[in-house]
Amino acid sequence: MLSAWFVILASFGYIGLLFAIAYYGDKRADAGRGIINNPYIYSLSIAVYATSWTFYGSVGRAAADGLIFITIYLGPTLMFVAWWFLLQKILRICKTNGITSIADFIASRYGKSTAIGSLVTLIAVVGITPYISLQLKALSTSLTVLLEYPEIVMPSAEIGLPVVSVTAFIVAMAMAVFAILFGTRHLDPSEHHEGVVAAIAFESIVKLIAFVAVGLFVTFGLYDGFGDLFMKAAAKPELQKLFAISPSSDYAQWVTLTILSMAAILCLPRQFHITIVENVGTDHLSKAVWMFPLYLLLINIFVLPIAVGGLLQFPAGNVDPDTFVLTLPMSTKNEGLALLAYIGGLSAATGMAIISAIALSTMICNEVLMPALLRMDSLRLNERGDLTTLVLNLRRFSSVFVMLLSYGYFVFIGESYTLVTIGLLSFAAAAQFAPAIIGGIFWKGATAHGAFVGLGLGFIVWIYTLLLPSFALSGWMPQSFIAEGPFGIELLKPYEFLGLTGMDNISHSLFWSMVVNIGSYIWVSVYTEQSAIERIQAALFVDAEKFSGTTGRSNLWQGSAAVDDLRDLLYRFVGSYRTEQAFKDHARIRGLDLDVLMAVDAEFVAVAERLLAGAIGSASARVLVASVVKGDIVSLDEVLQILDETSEVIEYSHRLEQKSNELEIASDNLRKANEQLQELDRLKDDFLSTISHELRTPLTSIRSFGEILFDKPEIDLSQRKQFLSVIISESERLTRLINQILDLAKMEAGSMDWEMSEVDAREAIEEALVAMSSLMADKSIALDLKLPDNLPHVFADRDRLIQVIVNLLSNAVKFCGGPEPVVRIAAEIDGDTVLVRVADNGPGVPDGVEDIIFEKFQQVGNPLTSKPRGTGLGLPISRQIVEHFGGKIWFEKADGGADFRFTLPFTRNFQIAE
Amino acid sequence: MTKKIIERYGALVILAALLFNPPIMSIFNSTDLILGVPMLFLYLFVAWALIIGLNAYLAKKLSAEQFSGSEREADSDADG
Repeated sequence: MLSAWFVILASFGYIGLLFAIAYYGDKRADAGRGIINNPYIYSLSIAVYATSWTFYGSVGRAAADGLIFITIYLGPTLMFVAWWFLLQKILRICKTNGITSIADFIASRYGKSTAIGSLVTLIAVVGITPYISLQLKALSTSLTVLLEYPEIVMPSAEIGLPVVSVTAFIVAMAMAVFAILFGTRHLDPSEHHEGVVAAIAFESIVKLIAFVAVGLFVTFGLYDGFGDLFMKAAAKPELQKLFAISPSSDYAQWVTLTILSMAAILCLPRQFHITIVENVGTDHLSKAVWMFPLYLLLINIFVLPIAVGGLLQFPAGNVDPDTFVLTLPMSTKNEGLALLAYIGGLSAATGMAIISAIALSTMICNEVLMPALLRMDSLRLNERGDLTTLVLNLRRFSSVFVMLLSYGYFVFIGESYTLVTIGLLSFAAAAQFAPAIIGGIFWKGATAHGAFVGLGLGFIVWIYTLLLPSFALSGWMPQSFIAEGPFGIELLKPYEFLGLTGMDNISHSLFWSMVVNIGSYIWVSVYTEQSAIERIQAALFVDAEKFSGTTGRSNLWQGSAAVDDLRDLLYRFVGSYRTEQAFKDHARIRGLDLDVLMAVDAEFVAVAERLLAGAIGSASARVLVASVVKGDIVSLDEVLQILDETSEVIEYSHRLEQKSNELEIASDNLRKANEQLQELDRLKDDFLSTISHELRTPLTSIRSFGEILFDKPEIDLSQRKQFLSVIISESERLTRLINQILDLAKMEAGSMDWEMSEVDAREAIEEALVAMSSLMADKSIALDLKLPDNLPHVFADRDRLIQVIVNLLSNAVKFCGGPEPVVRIAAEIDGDTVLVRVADNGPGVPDGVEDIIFEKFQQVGNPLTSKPRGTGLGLPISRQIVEHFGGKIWFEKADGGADFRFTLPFTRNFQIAE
Repeated sequence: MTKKIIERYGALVILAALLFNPPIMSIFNSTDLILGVPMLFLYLFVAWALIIGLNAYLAKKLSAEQFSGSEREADSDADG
């Protein structure tokens, strides 16, 4: 099965499949039914981070140093946990400003500077080329190993089989073709390549499945699960040490690598491209921030098991651990799995190469070639017709250039280095962008000079401390360069610069390059001034939240441009369809009529510039737009004023919104207060009508009996006495009523005079009973009294307390009935209060009115048919009094009869309520 | 509420940075086997999974507020 022709066929079959998927993805996108518009595809495409370095190299690293390989994946996890503070902001800035690459991002931030764009591109190309060649190396190594099947032979230092180097070359070129076909189909201002993203997501699935399959095979096929595998490894001291990392040297490296990989996930051009530029929905990021780390976790679970499994299977040490993923299935004649592992490695390698080629070629074209060509007046590029083809051809050329460069590096230097070392070399180069990016989005004062010098010096230090030594190790330069320093100057030894020792090469290089990079970035920034456009761009980037969602904010054109000039310019780069669409959209928003419009204003020009920037980068777009706009760039003060006004307007509308919210709340409150007042008004009316009714009843009887007595002097004495007694009792009722109304009014108004003192509740109850005793005796009502001897004192107004008890008692006397009328009084201690109960065996209180009997003038029974038996004020007054004492009064349903209870707090806990 | 979640994110970032680096990590830096796997291996993957889970939880909350625009709804969701 694993014959040479079959493996080669499978390789190209797989690559053919990639083309088919990309083709399908593009077709769907053209039909308006894109398949990549979901967070899962997006997350998988970010997993292009896992290259063949992950696929083969992690195992190699784990076999040498144990778990330290995992830092390369913990770093990105950390960065994605902190996504809200960095990635989200960068994404927002890029969407608002139409950023096409990491070089465009940095150049744009520092005043759309061509110099910075070119420098970033240079660093990216020099730094990433080894990384792409690393993929080719992994591919050729894995292919060589696989082709030796069934033998397991390690490739020699030179590239052995001609078929391998030819295959590597063809794959490299296939990747270039892929990048050209699907990465440069047309000039798209949004810079989205749906087909490419679909293919990359597919590759991520393949490499995950392949790696996990090998992991499961090693763990559960060759061994009996994790426990068995690790147990056998633990028996060998040289393997057991891989379970932990050596504290003396590796902790520093652990931290370095974590920081380095954090920077890498942000700064590697391909990661920036796939995460930021290819993002089609900002909300996808919020899902990817955990799905991508989850992918990394899954693909890393089996790294250590495969590493120790390989070391156990090949104890002789003649098999390179970098190839374990492949050689373990091969050693057990597991042909299908070996092929799957090889395809997995191929997918890891090709995915990385494709996106890197696209990202780098975009940068080379937009940041270096186009601005340079446009500035060459002799070419008269501005006056030529359709330039879309030129731009696309430049990109195609750049893609091929990048892949050829990588292949060249691979052929001449790649073989001497292990996978991990080359990968870290590239990480350290990409990390040089981090200060300019992070500083750029948080520090408005950072200047283009600072960024340029920081990037440049950091890059030089990187070359000196990592790239040149790697050349020396490969034999391009004398080895003495590393061992003795250049020209024998010890202090300049690249791995021990200025005598700094005790660090591994990567930490050493990262330290020095960051010291120089960050140091000069800050120092030069604080000693130089920003130009107008830099200040504008700085404001746009740092205050991205304020300006997001608005387009054409970098409104720095003054004067106007002829519509036709602008239209011609855009036609040449983004085509007529997109141009007209953008013009129409903008005209509609602004309410302009394109047919009669001759010249357009600054805002229109800004829209055009943004469209152009999406296609060819901001630096080029600026040069081009300048050529058609008549009038100058506005002055700094004017622009800042525009920006200020914008933010002021935003601020103002914010405040307005706040104000209107406040107003709404206020009017809400007012409405409620009004409702309350109306309710009170109604209550007052009710009160007055009830009270007048209550007062009129006794008055009417007094008056009618008085009139009878007056009109008929002949009435006999006994009748006269009877009438007079009615008059007297009705007068008493009237007096009582008026007193109670006054009491209640006073209490409600809070103007009652309370004589608060310590009162013996028992004494008060007894006194009330004395007052009621004659009445009870008249009606022959039995009294059931339960008063404990040791009732604590309560804090109350003694007379009022007696009034409450009398009120309740007279109610009970009034309503108790039956052949054996009885009134029960009891007092007891309940918690920290004295609980008093007054109950009777009368008809009780009907259902549903328990709550209203404490309201004023609420009498039980129909007031129209039955004669009122009380004033209807006793219970409300009692409630007022008890509540003033800090207790509460309520009604409890009892079997046959009413049961009123109230509580009074003890003296020691009592606090004066008012 | 958004501000609150962002603050929680700040706390999570600090937690993750602590868990993934020495000295916390070094507590588990031993060649002993726990449940049949090396202690550091087990610790790193458990911590990793924990951080991913918390990230997923917070990201969901945050995006519900950021992108749906119904801040009140998400508010009550968060409290409930």
